[in-house]
Amino acid sequence: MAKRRETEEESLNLVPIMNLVTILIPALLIAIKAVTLTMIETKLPAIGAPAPPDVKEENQQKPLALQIIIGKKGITLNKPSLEFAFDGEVPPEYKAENPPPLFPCAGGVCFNPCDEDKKQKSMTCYNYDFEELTKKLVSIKQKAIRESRFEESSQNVVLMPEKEIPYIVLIHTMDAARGTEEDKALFDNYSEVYKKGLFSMVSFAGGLN
Amino acid sequence: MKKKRRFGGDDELNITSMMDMMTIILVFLLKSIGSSEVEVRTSDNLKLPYSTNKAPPMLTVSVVVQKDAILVDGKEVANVQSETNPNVPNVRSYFVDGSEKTGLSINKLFDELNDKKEVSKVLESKTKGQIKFDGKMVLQFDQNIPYSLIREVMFTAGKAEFFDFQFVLIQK
Repeated sequence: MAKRRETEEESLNLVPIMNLVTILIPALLIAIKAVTLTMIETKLPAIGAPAPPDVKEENQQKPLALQIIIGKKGITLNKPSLEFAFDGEVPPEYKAENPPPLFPCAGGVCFNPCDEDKKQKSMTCYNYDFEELTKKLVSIKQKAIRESRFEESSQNVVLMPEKEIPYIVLIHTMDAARGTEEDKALFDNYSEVYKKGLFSMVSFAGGLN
Repeated sequence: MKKKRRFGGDDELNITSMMDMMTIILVFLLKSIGSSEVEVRTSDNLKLPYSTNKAPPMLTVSVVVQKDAILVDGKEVANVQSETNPNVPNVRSYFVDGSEKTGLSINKLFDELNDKKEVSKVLESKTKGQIKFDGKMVLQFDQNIPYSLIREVMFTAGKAEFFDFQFVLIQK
Protein backbone atom coordinates (compact mmCIF):
# COMPACT_ATOMS: atom_id res chain seq x y z
CA MET A 1 0.00 0.00 0.00
CA ALA A 2 2.87 2.33 0.82
CA LYS A 3 4.47 1.45 -2.47
CA ARG A 4 1.26 2.37 -4.36
CA ARG A 5 1.06 5.79 -2.63
CA GLU A 6 4.66 6.52 -3.56
CA THR A 7 4.00 5.71 -7.24
CA GLU A 8 0.92 7.95 -7.36
CA GLU A 9 2.80 10.92 -5.92
CA GLU A 10 5.50 10.64 -8.57
CA SER A 11 3.11 11.03 -11.53
CA LEU A 12 3.63 14.24 -13.51
CA ASN A 13 1.01 16.95 -13.08
CA LEU A 14 0.10 17.85 -16.67
CA VAL A 15 -2.70 20.28 -15.82
CA PRO A 16 -0.57 23.52 -16.05
CA ILE A 17 0.80 22.39 -19.41
CA MET A 18 -2.73 21.64 -20.56
CA ASN A 19 -3.77 25.14 -19.51
CA LEU A 20 -0.93 26.66 -21.48
CA VAL A 21 -1.65 24.60 -24.60
CA THR A 22 -5.37 25.41 -24.39
CA ILE A 23 -4.50 29.13 -24.41
CA LEU A 24 -1.92 28.74 -27.18
CA ILE A 25 -4.22 26.91 -29.59
CA PRO A 26 -6.89 29.66 -29.91
CA ALA A 27 -4.11 32.28 -30.14
CA LEU A 28 -2.49 30.38 -33.00
CA LEU A 29 -5.83 29.77 -34.69
CA ILE A 30 -6.36 33.54 -34.78
CA ALA A 31 -2.86 34.16 -36.13
CA ILE A 32 -3.14 31.49 -38.82
CA LYS A 33 -3.21 32.71 -42.40
CA ALA A 34 -6.58 32.24 -44.01
CA VAL A 35 -5.23 33.23 -47.41
CA THR A 36 -1.86 33.08 -49.10
CA LEU A 37 -0.80 36.24 -50.84
CA THR A 38 1.05 36.37 -54.08
CA MET A 39 2.29 39.11 -56.38
CA ILE A 40 2.79 39.90 -60.03
CA GLU A 41 5.72 42.14 -60.89
CA THR A 42 5.51 44.66 -63.67
CA LYS A 43 7.29 47.80 -64.80
CA LEU A 44 5.87 51.25 -65.39
CA PRO A 45 3.62 51.21 -68.45
CA ALA A 46 4.35 53.28 -71.50
CA ILE A 47 1.81 56.06 -71.23
CA GLY A 48 0.06 57.17 -74.37
CA ALA A 49 -1.30 55.35 -77.37
CA PRO A 50 1.14 52.81 -78.74
CA ALA A 51 2.90 53.70 -81.96
CA PRO A 52 1.16 52.12 -84.96
CA PRO A 53 3.26 49.45 -86.61
CA ASP A 54 5.14 50.57 -89.67
CA VAL A 55 3.67 48.55 -92.51
CA LYS A 56 6.82 48.87 -94.60
CA GLU A 57 8.92 47.40 -91.81
CA GLU A 58 6.59 44.46 -91.29
CA ASN A 59 8.31 41.48 -92.74
CA GLN A 60 8.42 37.80 -92.04
CA GLN A 61 11.70 37.99 -90.13
CA LYS A 62 10.53 40.28 -87.33
CA PRO A 63 10.54 38.60 -83.91
CA LEU A 64 7.29 38.02 -82.07
CA ALA A 65 6.18 41.10 -80.07
CA LEU A 66 2.86 40.14 -78.60
CA GLN A 67 0.26 42.67 -77.52
CA ILE A 68 -3.05 41.61 -76.04
CA ILE A 69 -5.86 44.09 -76.56
CA ILE A 70 -8.67 43.78 -73.99
CA GLY A 71 -11.84 45.41 -75.24
CA LYS A 72 -15.45 45.67 -74.22
CA LYS A 73 -16.42 43.00 -76.78
CA GLY A 74 -13.59 40.57 -76.32
CA ILE A 75 -9.85 40.02 -76.54
CA THR A 76 -7.70 40.31 -79.62
CA LEU A 77 -4.02 40.54 -80.57
CA ASN A 78 -1.99 43.21 -82.34
CA LYS A 79 -1.89 42.87 -86.12
CA PRO A 80 1.71 41.56 -86.46
CA SER A 81 0.93 38.82 -83.93
CA LEU A 82 -2.17 37.77 -85.87
CA GLU A 83 0.14 36.22 -88.48
CA PHE A 84 1.15 33.71 -85.83
CA ALA A 85 -2.43 33.13 -84.75
CA PHE A 86 -3.60 31.92 -88.15
CA ASP A 87 -2.09 29.13 -90.17
CA GLY A 88 -1.48 30.78 -93.50
CA GLU A 89 -3.14 34.01 -94.57
CA VAL A 90 -4.82 36.32 -92.01
CA PRO A 91 -8.54 36.60 -92.93
CA PRO A 92 -9.39 40.02 -94.49
CA GLU A 93 -11.77 41.05 -91.68
CA TYR A 94 -8.85 40.99 -89.23
CA LYS A 95 -6.84 43.29 -91.53
CA ALA A 96 -9.58 45.94 -91.44
CA GLU A 97 -9.38 49.21 -89.49
CA ASN A 98 -11.58 47.92 -86.65
CA PRO A 99 -11.13 44.15 -86.66
CA PRO A 100 -13.49 41.92 -84.67
CA PRO A 101 -12.04 40.42 -81.47
CA LEU A 102 -10.16 37.18 -81.96
CA PHE A 103 -11.71 35.87 -78.74
CA PRO A 104 -15.19 37.45 -78.61
CA CYS A 105 -17.27 37.31 -75.47
CA ALA A 106 -20.24 34.95 -75.66
CA GLY A 107 -23.14 36.79 -77.30
CA GLY A 108 -20.97 39.90 -77.68
CA VAL A 109 -21.61 40.76 -74.03
CA CYS A 110 -18.53 40.73 -71.80
CA PHE A 111 -20.04 41.96 -68.55
CA ASN A 112 -22.95 40.22 -66.86
CA PRO A 113 -25.08 41.76 -64.11
CA CYS A 114 -23.06 41.02 -61.00
CA ASP A 115 -23.23 41.86 -57.33
CA GLU A 116 -20.10 43.90 -56.58
CA ASP A 117 -20.48 43.32 -52.86
CA LYS A 118 -20.04 39.60 -53.22
CA LYS A 119 -17.10 38.37 -51.19
CA GLN A 120 -15.11 37.40 -54.26
CA LYS A 121 -16.19 37.97 -57.81
CA SER A 122 -16.24 34.82 -59.83
CA MET A 123 -15.55 34.76 -63.51
CA THR A 124 -19.27 34.25 -64.11
CA CYS A 125 -19.43 38.05 -63.90
CA TYR A 126 -17.43 38.18 -67.15
CA ASN A 127 -17.57 36.27 -70.42
CA TYR A 128 -13.96 36.58 -71.53
CA ASP A 129 -12.59 33.36 -72.98
CA PHE A 130 -9.28 33.02 -71.15
CA GLU A 131 -8.93 29.28 -71.86
CA GLU A 132 -9.00 29.85 -75.61
CA LEU A 133 -6.57 32.74 -75.21
CA THR A 134 -4.05 30.51 -73.41
CA LYS A 135 -4.44 27.75 -76.04
CA LYS A 136 -3.83 30.25 -78.84
CA LEU A 137 -0.81 31.75 -77.06
CA VAL A 138 0.72 28.25 -76.76
CA SER A 139 0.32 27.69 -80.51
CA ILE A 140 1.65 31.21 -81.27
CA LYS A 141 4.76 30.61 -79.17
CA GLN A 142 5.35 27.19 -80.75
CA LYS A 143 5.02 28.66 -84.24
CA ALA A 144 7.36 31.57 -83.41
CA ILE A 145 9.98 29.14 -82.08
CA ARG A 146 9.66 26.91 -85.18
CA GLU A 147 10.19 29.93 -87.43
CA SER A 148 13.12 31.19 -85.27
CA ARG A 149 11.22 34.39 -84.52
CA PHE A 150 11.11 33.99 -80.76
CA GLU A 151 13.79 36.03 -78.99
CA GLU A 152 14.29 36.78 -75.30
CA SER A 153 12.27 40.00 -75.71
CA SER A 154 9.39 37.92 -77.08
CA GLN A 155 8.76 36.71 -73.51
CA ASN A 156 7.30 40.16 -72.82
CA VAL A 157 3.62 40.63 -73.44
CA VAL A 158 2.08 44.08 -73.44
CA LEU A 159 -1.51 44.40 -72.28
CA MET A 160 -3.58 47.13 -73.92
CA PRO A 161 -6.84 47.35 -71.99
CA GLU A 162 -9.62 49.79 -72.69
CA LYS A 163 -10.01 52.25 -69.83
CA GLU A 164 -13.23 50.72 -68.45
CA ILE A 165 -11.82 47.19 -68.06
CA PRO A 166 -11.79 46.17 -64.36
CA TYR A 167 -8.64 45.06 -62.57
CA ILE A 168 -9.86 41.47 -62.14
CA VAL A 169 -10.03 41.02 -65.93
CA LEU A 170 -6.48 42.37 -66.28
CA ILE A 171 -5.20 39.91 -63.67
CA HIS A 172 -6.93 36.96 -65.31
CA THR A 173 -5.48 38.00 -68.68
CA MET A 174 -2.02 38.14 -67.09
CA ASP A 175 -2.57 34.65 -65.65
CA ALA A 176 -3.72 33.41 -69.06
CA ALA A 177 -0.59 34.89 -70.69
CA ARG A 178 1.71 33.19 -68.20
CA GLY A 179 -0.11 29.88 -68.67
CA THR A 180 -0.44 26.94 -66.32
CA GLU A 181 2.29 24.54 -65.21
CA GLU A 182 1.12 22.15 -67.97
CA ASP A 183 1.55 24.90 -70.57
CA LYS A 184 5.06 25.59 -69.28
CA ALA A 185 5.87 21.87 -69.44
CA LEU A 186 5.19 21.93 -73.20
CA PHE A 187 8.41 23.93 -73.59
CA ASP A 188 10.60 21.73 -71.34
CA ASN A 189 12.48 20.29 -74.30
CA TYR A 190 13.42 23.71 -75.63
CA SER A 191 16.39 25.85 -74.57
CA GLU A 192 16.40 28.09 -71.46
CA VAL A 193 15.05 31.14 -73.32
CA TYR A 194 11.73 29.39 -73.95
CA LYS A 195 11.34 27.68 -70.57
CA LYS A 196 10.57 30.68 -68.38
CA GLY A 197 6.85 30.21 -68.75
CA LEU A 198 4.47 30.73 -71.59
CA PHE A 199 5.04 34.50 -71.63
CA SER A 200 6.82 35.32 -68.38
CA MET A 201 6.77 39.13 -68.29
CA VAL A 202 3.52 41.05 -68.65
CA SER A 203 3.36 44.84 -68.66
CA PHE A 204 0.81 47.50 -69.52
CA ALA A 205 0.71 49.91 -72.42
CA GLY A 206 -1.22 53.15 -72.33
CA GLY A 207 -4.91 52.34 -72.32
CA LEU A 208 -7.03 52.81 -75.38
CA ASN A 209 -9.76 55.40 -75.19
CA MET B 1 -12.70 -0.28 -0.86
CA LYS B 2 -12.39 -1.53 -4.40
CA LYS B 3 -15.76 -0.03 -5.34
CA LYS B 4 -14.85 3.34 -3.83
CA ARG B 5 -11.61 3.51 -5.77
CA ARG B 6 -13.43 2.89 -9.05
CA PHE B 7 -16.19 5.46 -8.56
CA GLY B 8 -14.87 7.75 -5.86
CA GLY B 9 -12.52 10.77 -5.82
CA ASP B 10 -9.28 8.82 -6.07
CA ASP B 11 -9.62 8.33 -9.84
CA GLU B 12 -8.07 11.08 -11.96
CA LEU B 13 -8.79 11.93 -15.55
CA ASN B 14 -6.15 10.49 -17.85
CA ILE B 15 -5.13 13.45 -19.95
CA THR B 16 -2.06 11.92 -21.57
CA SER B 17 -3.86 11.08 -24.82
CA MET B 18 -5.37 14.56 -24.88
CA MET B 19 -1.89 16.02 -24.39
CA ASP B 20 -0.67 13.99 -27.37
CA MET B 21 -3.44 15.38 -29.51
CA MET B 22 -2.83 18.94 -28.33
CA THR B 23 0.89 18.65 -29.06
CA ILE B 24 0.17 17.52 -32.62
CA ILE B 25 -2.32 20.37 -33.14
CA LEU B 26 0.18 22.86 -31.69
CA VAL B 27 2.95 21.75 -34.05
CA PHE B 28 0.54 21.89 -37.01
CA LEU B 29 -0.62 25.40 -36.12
CA LEU B 30 2.92 26.68 -35.61
CA LYS B 31 3.82 25.36 -39.07
CA SER B 32 0.74 26.95 -40.66
CA ILE B 33 1.34 30.41 -39.26
CA GLY B 34 2.06 32.90 -41.98
CA SER B 35 5.09 35.12 -42.16
CA SER B 36 4.06 37.40 -45.05
CA GLU B 37 5.65 40.85 -44.84
CA VAL B 38 2.78 42.57 -46.59
CA GLU B 39 -0.31 43.40 -44.61
CA VAL B 40 -3.65 43.17 -46.33
CA ARG B 41 -6.85 44.39 -44.76
CA THR B 42 -9.65 43.31 -47.03
CA SER B 43 -13.00 44.98 -46.58
CA ASP B 44 -16.10 45.73 -48.62
CA ASN B 45 -14.05 48.40 -50.37
CA LEU B 46 -10.99 46.25 -51.01
CA LYS B 47 -11.38 42.77 -52.46
CA LEU B 48 -8.27 41.44 -54.10
CA PRO B 49 -8.64 39.16 -57.11
CA TYR B 50 -7.30 35.60 -57.20
CA SER B 51 -4.25 34.71 -59.24
CA THR B 52 -2.48 31.49 -60.17
CA ASN B 53 0.90 33.12 -59.52
CA LYS B 54 3.03 31.77 -56.64
CA ALA B 55 5.67 34.46 -55.86
CA PRO B 56 5.32 36.00 -52.37
CA PRO B 57 5.04 39.81 -52.05
CA MET B 58 7.85 41.84 -50.44
CA LEU B 59 7.70 44.74 -48.02
CA THR B 60 8.04 48.22 -49.51
CA VAL B 61 5.91 51.36 -49.97
CA SER B 62 2.30 50.23 -50.16
CA VAL B 63 -0.45 51.92 -52.13
CA VAL B 64 -3.99 50.63 -51.65
CA VAL B 65 -6.76 51.67 -54.03
CA GLN B 66 -10.13 50.92 -52.49
CA LYS B 67 -13.55 51.68 -53.90
CA ASP B 68 -13.74 54.84 -51.75
CA ALA B 69 -10.16 55.99 -51.15
CA ILE B 70 -6.48 55.77 -52.03
CA LEU B 71 -4.14 55.00 -49.13
CA VAL B 72 -0.36 55.21 -48.90
CA ASP B 73 1.03 53.03 -46.09
CA GLY B 74 -2.39 53.16 -44.42
CA LYS B 75 -2.81 56.94 -44.70
CA GLU B 76 -5.71 58.19 -46.81
CA VAL B 77 -4.52 60.61 -49.49
CA ALA B 78 -7.37 60.86 -52.01
CA ASN B 79 -11.05 60.11 -52.36
CA VAL B 80 -12.37 57.73 -54.98
CA GLN B 81 -15.81 58.39 -56.42
CA SER B 82 -18.06 56.06 -58.33
CA GLU B 83 -20.93 56.18 -60.77
CA THR B 84 -22.67 53.87 -63.19
CA ASN B 85 -20.96 53.73 -66.52
CA PRO B 86 -23.31 54.56 -69.41
CA ASN B 87 -20.86 53.09 -71.95
CA VAL B 88 -20.50 49.69 -70.32
CA PRO B 89 -23.56 48.13 -68.72
CA ASN B 90 -23.02 46.18 -65.49
CA VAL B 91 -19.68 47.88 -64.77
CA ARG B 92 -19.35 50.76 -62.32
CA SER B 93 -16.84 53.48 -62.96
CA TYR B 94 -14.38 54.49 -60.18
CA PHE B 95 -12.38 57.68 -60.53
CA VAL B 96 -10.59 60.50 -58.71
CA ASP B 97 -12.26 63.86 -59.20
CA GLY B 98 -10.69 66.03 -61.90
CA SER B 99 -10.05 68.86 -59.40
CA GLU B 100 -7.62 66.57 -57.52
CA LYS B 101 -5.60 65.75 -60.62
CA THR B 102 -3.14 67.41 -62.97
CA GLY B 103 -3.45 65.49 -66.21
CA LEU B 104 -3.03 61.83 -65.27
CA SER B 105 -1.26 62.65 -61.99
CA ILE B 106 -3.20 62.51 -58.70
CA ASN B 107 -1.84 65.51 -56.77
CA LYS B 108 -2.01 64.36 -53.15
CA LEU B 109 -0.83 60.86 -54.03
CA PHE B 110 2.17 62.39 -55.80
CA ASP B 111 2.99 64.61 -52.78
CA GLU B 112 2.86 61.65 -50.39
CA LEU B 113 4.95 59.40 -52.63
CA ASN B 114 7.44 62.19 -53.21
CA ASP B 115 7.83 62.57 -49.43
CA LYS B 116 8.40 58.81 -49.13
CA LYS B 117 11.05 58.97 -51.83
CA GLU B 118 12.80 61.92 -50.16
CA VAL B 119 12.86 60.09 -46.80
CA SER B 120 14.28 57.00 -48.52
CA LYS B 121 16.96 59.06 -50.25
CA VAL B 122 17.98 60.75 -46.99
CA LEU B 123 18.19 57.31 -45.38
CA GLU B 124 20.25 56.09 -48.31
CA SER B 125 22.80 58.89 -47.91
CA LYS B 126 22.96 58.56 -44.11
CA THR B 127 23.44 54.80 -44.20
CA LYS B 128 25.96 55.13 -47.05
CA GLY B 129 23.85 53.03 -49.39
CA GLN B 130 22.98 50.26 -46.96
CA ILE B 131 19.31 51.17 -47.26
CA LYS B 132 18.69 51.85 -50.92
CA PHE B 133 15.81 53.56 -52.65
CA ASP B 134 14.93 51.02 -55.33
CA GLY B 135 11.71 52.56 -56.67
CA LYS B 136 9.68 49.47 -55.74
CA MET B 137 6.07 49.69 -54.74
CA VAL B 138 3.38 47.26 -53.61
CA LEU B 139 0.00 47.93 -55.18
CA GLN B 140 -3.33 46.62 -53.95
CA PHE B 141 -6.36 47.36 -56.10
CA ASP B 142 -9.93 46.37 -55.48
CA GLN B 143 -10.98 43.92 -58.18
CA ASN B 144 -13.54 46.38 -59.63
CA ILE B 145 -11.15 49.32 -60.12
CA PRO B 146 -11.01 50.16 -63.84
CA TYR B 147 -7.81 50.41 -65.84
CA SER B 148 -8.20 54.20 -66.18
CA LEU B 149 -7.64 54.65 -62.43
CA ILE B 150 -4.90 52.00 -62.33
CA ARG B 151 -3.09 53.88 -65.10
CA GLU B 152 -3.38 57.18 -63.20
CA VAL B 153 -1.99 55.63 -60.00
CA MET B 154 0.90 54.04 -61.90
CA PHE B 155 1.58 57.26 -63.80
CA THR B 156 1.66 59.24 -60.53
CA ALA B 157 3.98 56.66 -58.98
CA GLY B 158 6.27 56.88 -62.01
CA LYS B 159 6.38 60.65 -61.68
CA ALA B 160 7.59 60.17 -58.09
CA GLU B 161 10.30 57.77 -59.40
CA PHE B 162 8.63 54.50 -58.44
CA PHE B 163 9.00 52.25 -61.47
CA ASP B 164 8.77 48.66 -60.20
CA PHE B 165 5.31 47.51 -59.22
CA GLN B 166 4.13 44.42 -57.39
CA PHE B 167 0.43 43.70 -57.62
CA VAL B 168 -0.68 41.92 -54.44
CA LEU B 169 -3.23 39.17 -55.06
CA ILE B 170 -4.72 36.16 -53.36
CA GLN B 171 -3.16 32.88 -54.40
CA LYS B 172 -5.60 30.50 -56.04
